Amino acid sequence: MNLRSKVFKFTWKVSYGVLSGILWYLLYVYIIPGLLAAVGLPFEEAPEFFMFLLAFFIALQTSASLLENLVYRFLLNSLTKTLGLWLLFSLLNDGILSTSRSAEGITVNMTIDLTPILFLLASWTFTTILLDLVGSMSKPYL
Amino acid sequence: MRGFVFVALSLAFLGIGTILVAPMAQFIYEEYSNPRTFYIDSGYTQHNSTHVELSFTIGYNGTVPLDDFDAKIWFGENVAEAKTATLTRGQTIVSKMLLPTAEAESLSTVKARVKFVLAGIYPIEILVTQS
Repeated sequence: MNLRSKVFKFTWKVSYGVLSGILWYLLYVYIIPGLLAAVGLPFEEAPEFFMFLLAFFIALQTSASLLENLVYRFLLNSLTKTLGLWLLFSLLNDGILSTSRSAEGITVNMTIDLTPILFLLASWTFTTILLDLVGSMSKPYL
Repeated sequence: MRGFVFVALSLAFLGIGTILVAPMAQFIYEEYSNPRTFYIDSGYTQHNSTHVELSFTIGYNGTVPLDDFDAKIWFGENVAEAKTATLTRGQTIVSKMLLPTAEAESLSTVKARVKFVLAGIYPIEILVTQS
């Protein structure tokens, strides 16, 4: 492999890592909560410090993309997804959403338990991790 | 192949997610479009010279069933409760209580708590306090 193709391969892997890091971050921090908010559920927006975690997602996915070792790659991919799930859980307050309104001496508090949705999202995340594990153990994939 | 399996799996979960979220979306939409989808009406009549009879009518016009429905209304120390296994469209529950007239006149705080499980999936609790 000449230098040019090596540089191309490296650039491709870095770009893939950066893009997949951004995608996983957007999915867990904005897209899934955004879809649930579109239904009309009262969610708070992601706090500003969550933006710093974007760098962490990009670093994890870029490392996973550059590494040749399947075990390390699997571990980094799993870490990205688990971190995303953890952020999502904290954004959705572990599935317990509360909202409060006050007007003319009347206070209304409403609490909704959304844990079934979180169970589904956790199942999806861990199933994709399992899929990665199967992929790491059997080459070619499936 | 890996990408195909991932997409197929994600679509399957998205389908389940849509089915899971649909009752919640339907309930919220109905509540927004018609504020009297779920309502509590109250009234009172003079029972005798010493007591008044308070009555509460809880009604529901939504399409999503409300399971394990439990409503409690506190008037000071007195509690009125209305329960049913499932509250469905067009159904009303009436609860009555007798309150001494003097106590009814001096009431300063009224509290209501409504608990139900939306479509048997989402437990919801609504607490209303008037002071």
